[in-house]
Amino acid sequence: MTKGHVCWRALLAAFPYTTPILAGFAFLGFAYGVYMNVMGFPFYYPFLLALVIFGGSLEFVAVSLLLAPFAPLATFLLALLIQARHLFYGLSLFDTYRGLGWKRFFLIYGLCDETFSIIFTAKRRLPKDVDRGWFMLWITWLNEGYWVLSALLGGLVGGMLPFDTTGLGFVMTAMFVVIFLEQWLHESCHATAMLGILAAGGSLALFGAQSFMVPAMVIILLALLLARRPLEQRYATPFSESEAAGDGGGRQGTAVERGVMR
Amino acid sequence: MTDMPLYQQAITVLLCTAATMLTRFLPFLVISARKPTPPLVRYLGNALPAAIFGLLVVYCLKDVAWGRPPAAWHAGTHRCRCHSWAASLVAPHAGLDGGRHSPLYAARPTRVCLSMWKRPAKQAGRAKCNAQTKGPSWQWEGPLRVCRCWLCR
Repeated sequence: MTKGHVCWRALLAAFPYTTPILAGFAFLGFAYGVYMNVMGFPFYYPFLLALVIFGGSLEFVAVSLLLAPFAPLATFLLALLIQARHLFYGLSLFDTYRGLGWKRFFLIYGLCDETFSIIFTAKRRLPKDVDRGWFMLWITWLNEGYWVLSALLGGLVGGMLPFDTTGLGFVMTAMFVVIFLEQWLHESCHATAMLGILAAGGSLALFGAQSFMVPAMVIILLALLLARRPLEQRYATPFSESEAAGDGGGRQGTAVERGVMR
Repeated sequence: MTDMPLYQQAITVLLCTAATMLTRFLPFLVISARKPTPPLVRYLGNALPAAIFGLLVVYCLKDVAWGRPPAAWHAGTHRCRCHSWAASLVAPHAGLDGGRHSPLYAARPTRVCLSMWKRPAKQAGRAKCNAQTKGPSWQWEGPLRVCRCWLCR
């Protein structure tokens, strides 16, 4: 198989998985472009912001940051707080993104909520003859492309047409619910799924919608670390057998080494 | 348009980018890719995602006004009530086996039809609509505040 063939095949396999993102991002990105246009920014602003930041909620916040007085430290801290959830994605996909060379950079660069969800769901039923790296790269690039292009389009078309997109972003909520349910159906132990809902819900009730994410993340992380002993056996099922075998061997090796050292 | 000089705009955007990329790249930079994955990271990688999806579901619904039936499911605004009906038509095209979760999709249009059936008179609906858009909704307030949906016209 030639290289181009591998790449093309992965694109064909990846596209169907990104269609819900296409629907959601087309509307959200367009709304973002229109929003910036109405706020008085030229069309290349939403395009550039979408390209470099590529994180929906922060981009909307960035508009108000640009309109407010210049405050670099506050900007940086706010951005960190809003985007802190990406830390979890990196932790979860660390093994999946292993050994992919230059593709890794682009995969991590475009690791947004939606891309993480799709990659996590899709990799379970990836056909054997599709290249894993290209497949994930195409999912990342397609999602990024949808967002950037629709933001550009919204910025260009701007206030010209009366268009109300409120509520259409609900596509995303529906998608996340479906992914959550799918995960629920796949797993044998529902402890962490319940933990996610309860920690987020409780923290939402305590801290309010503006600032519940970081406390919720801390609670989830602490709970997972504290309950590691009982949970580790239940969540030991790795993504593919070959990875598990390889790592099991490696761990055994280190144990033997340790024994020799002693 | 903003009053900021160009260099301040550039710094603001760059800081946002830097913070985002820091959160994305940090796990990959801190943990060595050459050695085998530490057991703790492996455990978190297996156990975290389910919790993350729960978190994301709550994140999407965070601004929903739960106290206001029947619009509560529809982000508490009249606009959302009609437009999320459209969204629920879009959603089944999701490539992730929609068939298994079809009750989820079927529930929404049913509820929307019921809420439209119980809708107040046209004028009252419009006034309520404009009043409610000022309150918090589950997504960002768009630039257009006037309801243009086919029910309000």
